[in-house]
Amino acid sequence: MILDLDHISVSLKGRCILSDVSMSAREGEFIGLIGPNGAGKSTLLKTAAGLLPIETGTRRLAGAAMETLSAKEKARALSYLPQTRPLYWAMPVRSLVALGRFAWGNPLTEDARDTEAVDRALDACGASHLADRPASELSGGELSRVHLARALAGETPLLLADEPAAALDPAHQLSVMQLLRAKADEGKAVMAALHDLTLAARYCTRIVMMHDSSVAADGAPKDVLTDDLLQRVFKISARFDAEGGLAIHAMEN
Amino acid sequence: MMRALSLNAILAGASIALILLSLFIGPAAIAPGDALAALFSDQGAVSAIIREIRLPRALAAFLAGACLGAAGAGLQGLLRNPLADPGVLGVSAAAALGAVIAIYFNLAALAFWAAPMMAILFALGATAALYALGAGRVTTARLILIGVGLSSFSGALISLAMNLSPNPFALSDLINWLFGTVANRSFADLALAAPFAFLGFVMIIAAAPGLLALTLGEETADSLGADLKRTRALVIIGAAFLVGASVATAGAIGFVGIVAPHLVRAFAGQNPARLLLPSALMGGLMLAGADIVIRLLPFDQELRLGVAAALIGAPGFVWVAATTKRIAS
Repeated sequence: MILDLDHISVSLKGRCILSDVSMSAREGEFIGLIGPNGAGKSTLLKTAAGLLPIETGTRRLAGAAMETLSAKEKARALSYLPQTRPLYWAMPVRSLVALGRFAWGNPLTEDARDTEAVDRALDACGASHLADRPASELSGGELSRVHLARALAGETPLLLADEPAAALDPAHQLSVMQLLRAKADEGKAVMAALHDLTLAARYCTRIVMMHDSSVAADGAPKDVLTDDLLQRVFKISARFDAEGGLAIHAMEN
Repeated sequence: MMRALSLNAILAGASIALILLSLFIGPAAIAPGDALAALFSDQGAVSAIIREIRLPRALAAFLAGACLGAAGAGLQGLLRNPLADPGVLGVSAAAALGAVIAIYFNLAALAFWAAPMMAILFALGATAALYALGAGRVTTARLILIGVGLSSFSGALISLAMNLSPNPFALSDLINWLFGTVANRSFADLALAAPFAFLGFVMIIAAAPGLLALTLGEETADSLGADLKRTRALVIIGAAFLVGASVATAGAIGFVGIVAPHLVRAFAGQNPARLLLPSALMGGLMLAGADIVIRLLPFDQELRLGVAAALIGAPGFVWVAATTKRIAS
């Protein structure tokens, strides 16, 4: 088990954002974290990444209590791709992706292992041809793939991604989901907050549904994406069709 | 990596050449050959001029500029803003206020290090305040406005301190502190500032990995394993040491901290960590060069170094401000 969250509560500015959340992630899983806006998906990812303090519960990463790990040890076990991805200097794409190797060796120099990992990450994201371009000149879709490559360059056993497919055209959305699934199939644990339930149903091995700061359901896509739960949590109606795709409808009053 | 090394080598070579060149320029007509001979062997009065007047002056200009360049590059990395500069943000003016208080209230007579120390303390307060108010959370425009306010406030307090001071003072002293000069600097002045400059520079260099990670914002930098608390402390204290040393040597000089990093940024691959040393060298080159120019200008009264720096640097600031585009967020 790479990540284990046990009875976690988190408050921000006096407001409870996560209330008694328990969940875990294993190698080989692609977990889709779904839920309406404000359900606590982003907070759960940040908490899992060790970026927020917890009020109650325990957090374990790769078998160790997260509080006992140094920042670099944490960073070698997990990479985190936030929802908003600021980029303050117009670095070449390759340097940006190489930031994913920060916790490995000297952050200011690139050794042979770093170079290989960066090349693999660029290749996996179909961004090798962008390597020498200034990141400031990329399109939204290209930049999104480059940020994903940065998160993959650390070659960590756990990848936490907050809406990795947001604001992408359908073809890019599919390729990102395919890539994340492929990484899970290779043995990585991937947990991604997703808004597109159809994509989540198709690519994720497991779905964690958040509702009002808590986990409403956790299990295989067909067990979680039920008409009953979707009506209660998302106020929508949905049904798996004959080919296993999820069809979503507005709820009938 | 090779490119960074050669960039630093070129800038370092140019710095030495410029400092040597500045030994040839001054009111006393001394031929370059005689000047060099007087530098390396005792030639009586000529050696006194070269070694005790022109060399410390050139080194003071270089040191002040290098401090500002490094402080500017460090602050820009921390605040993630190419317009951050100790002069524009009011840190230099705050440091000048500290030095003025030390000198006009006789603290400098009590302890020889009081003026640089007060300059550093005031720079520290200003930098910490700016960070608390600004980093990553406010727009560039607001950050600059905060700096304008801080700068004006410090300037007013400098005037007030001089009004209240028990010592007689001259208006030219106020002008020296606010506009900066390296005329009549001695090796003793340099020896006082150099340790603080060195400490500040070491701190800024130690912050390099954190500054690199901050390229992707605080949240991602944190997740990458960067120690942001340490980075913040190193840059804020390091920049305060650098600005304090610079102001104690040359008074408040603006715009070097913004223009120097901007000139070398493209050659350093836009990398905020690799930018630090080249920015220091470029800042030193700029002020050493500006100090040569003001000695060549045919004015009755010498132009202040800070005025020369602003004449070149302020248009540079406007240029950076006008061409900087927000990359993404």
